[in-house]
Amino acid sequence: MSFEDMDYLEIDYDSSTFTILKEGKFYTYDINSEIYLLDKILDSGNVEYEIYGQERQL
Amino acid sequence: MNEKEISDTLLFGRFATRNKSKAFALKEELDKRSKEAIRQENGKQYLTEWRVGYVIRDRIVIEIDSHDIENVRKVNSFYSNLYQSPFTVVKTMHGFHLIQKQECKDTFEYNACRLLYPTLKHGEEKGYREAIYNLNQKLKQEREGKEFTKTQLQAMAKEVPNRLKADGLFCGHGEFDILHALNGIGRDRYVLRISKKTPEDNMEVINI
Repeated sequence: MSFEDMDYLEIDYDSSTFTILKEGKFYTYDINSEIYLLDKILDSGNVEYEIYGQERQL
Repeated sequence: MNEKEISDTLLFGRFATRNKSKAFALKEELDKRSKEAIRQENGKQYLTEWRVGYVIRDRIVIEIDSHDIENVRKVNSFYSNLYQSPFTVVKTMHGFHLIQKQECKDTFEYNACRLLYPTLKHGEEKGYREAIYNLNQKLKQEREGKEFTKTQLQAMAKEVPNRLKADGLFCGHGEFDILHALNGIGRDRYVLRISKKTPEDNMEVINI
């Protein structure tokens, strides 16, 4: 089962988390790492996300 | 998220999805693995941090890497006039995003080229793209047969805007991220980071 197939459960804005059900287990993620502003600006129903790496010197 | 998706992302450096939760879950997993695989080079340590970006294919996006407000006004005013379309100005941790308010799906290629070369005439965009492609090939040829460290390659990427100017392929207005603009032409899309680098990494719409 991939994350495409997971059951989306809820977003809790009070605790800034969202919870999903995957393979019978609950997983909770922090949504503070996410910025929703662009959704509002672009107001697009056909959204695509890209994950990419950036290297930095420690 | 399966192991193949993770290994593909590590191999190609990129992964795309329409599922926001999946994007952030993948980023979290890759960040965990990166911490266990810190690269060493010449006594220095390098960490790969993973980002989630929003893909934009239907309007022009300009990235500015400083908080120089006069420069943002200059860029905003010039390109709003050029495109006859206003921009939303978003202040970020290290600079600004200028996001075109009106869609320009049908003229995206032309407008993306005009960001770097505002005097380009309609219909000349194919030739301009070709010139950029040829410059890229020339740079590749210069590197052919030589071995470079990753750090040297990164430094070379930063030199690309200077080469663009030297070859007469840039006459843009104000200071903005030329590599971001080049990527927009090469990939027919812009990718705007939405994941935070730090908890204080907020974005706000501003009036300038």
